[in-house]
Amino acid sequence: MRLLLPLFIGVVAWGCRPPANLPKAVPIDFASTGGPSTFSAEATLLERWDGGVLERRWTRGELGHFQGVDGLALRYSVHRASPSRGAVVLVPGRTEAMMKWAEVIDDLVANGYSAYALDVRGQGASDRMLPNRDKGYVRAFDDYVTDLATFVRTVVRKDEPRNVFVLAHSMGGAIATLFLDEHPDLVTAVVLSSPMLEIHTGGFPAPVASSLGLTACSMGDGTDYAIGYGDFTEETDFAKSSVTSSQPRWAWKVGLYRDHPSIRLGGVTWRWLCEALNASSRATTLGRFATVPTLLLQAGADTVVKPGSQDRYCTESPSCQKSVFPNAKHELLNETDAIRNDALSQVLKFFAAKGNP
Amino acid sequence: MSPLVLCLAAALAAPKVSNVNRRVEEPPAEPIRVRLEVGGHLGFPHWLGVVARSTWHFAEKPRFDLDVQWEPSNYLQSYSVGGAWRPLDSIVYVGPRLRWLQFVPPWSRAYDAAGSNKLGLSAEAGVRVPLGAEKRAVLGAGLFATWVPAQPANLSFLFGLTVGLTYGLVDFDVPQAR
Repeated sequence: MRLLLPLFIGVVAWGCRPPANLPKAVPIDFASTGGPSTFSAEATLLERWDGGVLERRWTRGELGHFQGVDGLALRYSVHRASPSRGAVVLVPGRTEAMMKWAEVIDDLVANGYSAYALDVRGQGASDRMLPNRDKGYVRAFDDYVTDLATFVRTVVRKDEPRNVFVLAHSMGGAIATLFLDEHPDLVTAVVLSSPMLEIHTGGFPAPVASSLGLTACSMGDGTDYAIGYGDFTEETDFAKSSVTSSQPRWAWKVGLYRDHPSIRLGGVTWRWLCEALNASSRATTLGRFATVPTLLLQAGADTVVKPGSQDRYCTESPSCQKSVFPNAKHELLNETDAIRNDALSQVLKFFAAKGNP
Repeated sequence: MSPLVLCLAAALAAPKVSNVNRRVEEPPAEPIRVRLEVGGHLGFPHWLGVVARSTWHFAEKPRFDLDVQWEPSNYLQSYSVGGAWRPLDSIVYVGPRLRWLQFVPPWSRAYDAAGSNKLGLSAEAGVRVPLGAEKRAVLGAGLFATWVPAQPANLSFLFGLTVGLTYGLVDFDVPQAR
C-alpha cells in the first residue's frame, strides 16, 4: 500500500508516456555562425508601407482560405520565394492579423523562404465565433491546433514537402507546441518567439486570477469579457506599450488596425482565458516529449508572458535551444532594429542549420 | 533485608486478580455516534457541490468528519474525498482533501482525457455550525487551497471557498474499542 499509492498518484498525475529518450542537442553558436544580419529598417517602415514597396509586396501574396473546425473559413496568404529553401508557417499571437507580419514576411522571402501566414479562428480576416467580432473567444484551444494541422497538411506541405518550418509567436507558441506534440512528423524545425506557456496575470496573483477565471467559465458559456477587458480601443500612448520598444513599429501597427477595422480584435473572454490557461499549462509539460528541433526566443523584459515555464519547457526538451534577449519586450520580431535583427538572424541561421539540404 | 526491598517484593508477589477486578469496575466505553449527512454548497472556483458526509461524535460532540463531494460544472469539475478534524470538538475544522479534478468536463469538446484529468490535494479550514434543536442541519463555510502538482504555471495552485448546508439523515452507533 505504501508503494502503490504514490505509484498510482504518479501515474495519474504525470501520465504514462515515456519521455523522448534523446541526448540533448548541441546548441548552435549563433555568434560564430555566418548568415544574414540586416533586415527591414524601422526608420523607413512607414514610408515603405503607405503605398510603398513593402505594401506592394504584401498585396502580391496569394490569399486563400480553408475550412477549419466547425466549418469556419480561415484566411491565409502565401508569399513565395524563388528558389525556395523551405516554407515558414507563421502562427500569430492573440489579436494579431497576418497583415501585421508583412515586415517579417518580406524579410523571410528576401532570404529565400516562402512564408505561409495564417489568421487563426476568431482573429484577423478569419471567421469569428461570436456576434460581437471584438471578443477574443475560442471554444476549445485544440481547435487552433487542429486548424493548424489542416493548414500544414492541405496547403503548406503540398507546396513544400521538403522543409516546413514554424515560426510561432506568443499564443501561436502554445498552439505550435501542442501541434508539434501531435504531429512531429509534419515539421522540420520550429522557432517559438515569447511562447505563451505561462500567462502574466498582472496585478492579480496567478492562483486568484485562475480561480476567478475557472469560476466564470464554470458558471456559463464564458462568452463575456474577462474582468478588465472590453471592445477594441486604439492605443494612443507609445510609452504604455508592453510589447515593443520601437516607436515606428508601434505606430505602424496602430495605423494598420485604424485603416483595417475588420481585422481588429478586442479583449479576451472568460472562455478564451480558461482555455489558454489550460493549454499553456499542458504545453509546458510537453518539453520532455519534444523531438522536433526548437529554438525558443525569450524576451527579458516580457510583461505579457512569464519566463519560468519557457525555461522548464526548454530544459526538459532534448531538442530545444533557448536564446534570451535581455532588454526585449514581448514582440521580439516587432522590437527595435538592434533586437529584431539579432532575433531574426538567429531564426534564419537556425532554419538553415536544421533544414534538409 | 531493607524495608524498601521487602515492600517491592510484596508488590511483585501480589495476586494479579486485583488488576482484573479493577478493569471490571470501569464503566463500559461509550459508543461513537456517527451521523450521515447529505447536502450541497456554493462557492468558487467550484460554484456548486453536492456532499455526503459522516460526522463522528465522541461524547455527543463531533470530532471527525469524512465526506465525498462532487462539484459538477460546465468547466472545472472535482470529485473528492475529504477528512476533517474538529480541534477541541468545536465547530472549527481543518483537514485535507484529495481531489480528482477535470479541467474541462468529459462532455465538452475541449476535453482531452490525457490532459484534462489531474489529481489535486487541498488543505481546508472552516466552521460547521449545527442549527436547530436537534442539530441535524449544519451550516458550513470553509476556505481551501488546492495544489495540482501536474498542472504547472498558472494552474498549479487554486484558492477557493464554500458555503453550504447539510442535513443529518441517519444516526448509528459504533462500539468503541478500548
